[in-house]
Amino acid sequence: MGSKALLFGAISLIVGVYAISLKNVQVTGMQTAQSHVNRVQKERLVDAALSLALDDVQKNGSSSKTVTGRHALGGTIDYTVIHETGTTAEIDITVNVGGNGNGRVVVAQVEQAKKKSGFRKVHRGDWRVLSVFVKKG
Amino acid sequence: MTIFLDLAGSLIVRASMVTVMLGLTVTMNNALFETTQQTNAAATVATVGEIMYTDLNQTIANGVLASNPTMMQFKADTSMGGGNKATITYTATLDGTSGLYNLTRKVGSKTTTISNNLVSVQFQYVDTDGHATTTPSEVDGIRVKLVAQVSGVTQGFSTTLNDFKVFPPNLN
Repeated sequence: MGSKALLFGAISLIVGVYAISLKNVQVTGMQTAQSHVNRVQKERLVDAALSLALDDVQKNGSSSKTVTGRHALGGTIDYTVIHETGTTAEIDITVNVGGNGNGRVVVAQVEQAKKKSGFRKVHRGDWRVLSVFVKKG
Repeated sequence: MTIFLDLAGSLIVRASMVTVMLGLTVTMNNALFETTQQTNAAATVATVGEIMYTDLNQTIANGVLASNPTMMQFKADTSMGGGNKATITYTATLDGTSGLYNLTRKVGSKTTTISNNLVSVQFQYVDTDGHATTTPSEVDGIRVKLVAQVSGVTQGFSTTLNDFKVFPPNLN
């Protein structure tokens, strides 16, 4: 009886220790995947924000304005249009996912010009994004 | 006579217990080792991908200078819009000894090896219509396929893949 208890105890201990270790490794793997998912979601949110802001500029002109608290794709979008000339503007965008305050700030230069845009180029009417950069935080 | 039989039986039972526990420990240890190696390899190749992804996203307009299956060179704004531009080159070279690819990242004149355990490296390029191209001026998107070897694992999941596409927003 004592031998059986010892055997089951030892096996339980071995299986338990390795199960915890395996779980920790899998959590690390999940975190790697999750960071990729977060990046993709923020990028989609930035694209959505650019579309929203450019839509605004196309409909209402490039006069300076600030819009806050727009919701899209499970995140929050704030943007400021800084009027430069009648055909160019700078758009500062802040996107937040999950409300953790860990936002991504993007600065885009936009222009009104009739040009063929690339595959990922965001455009609305004649307005298109000339350049877009994630601001160093 | 009975006492000897009891002793022998007891020894056999104890030996069996030790064998079962040792076998279990070895099996669990192998499983833990393989899973750890796979996770490490996946995390490493993901980090390499992140570096490439970030670099490629900073490519400036008409910035692709060379677009080959194992080498790409482009001009990027490394200050993220600040105006500091640098030429970045990614080159995959086959190491004859290990049979694996080394992937180097050259920024300006400084070269760094960012991976040395790649089974295969492929850079593919598409134009604005989504068609494959190798002409630098036509490139609108880049697909990167990195297959890394999982060190110490010979069967099952012995490699890990990172396959991603980048459409640099400032390229065209």
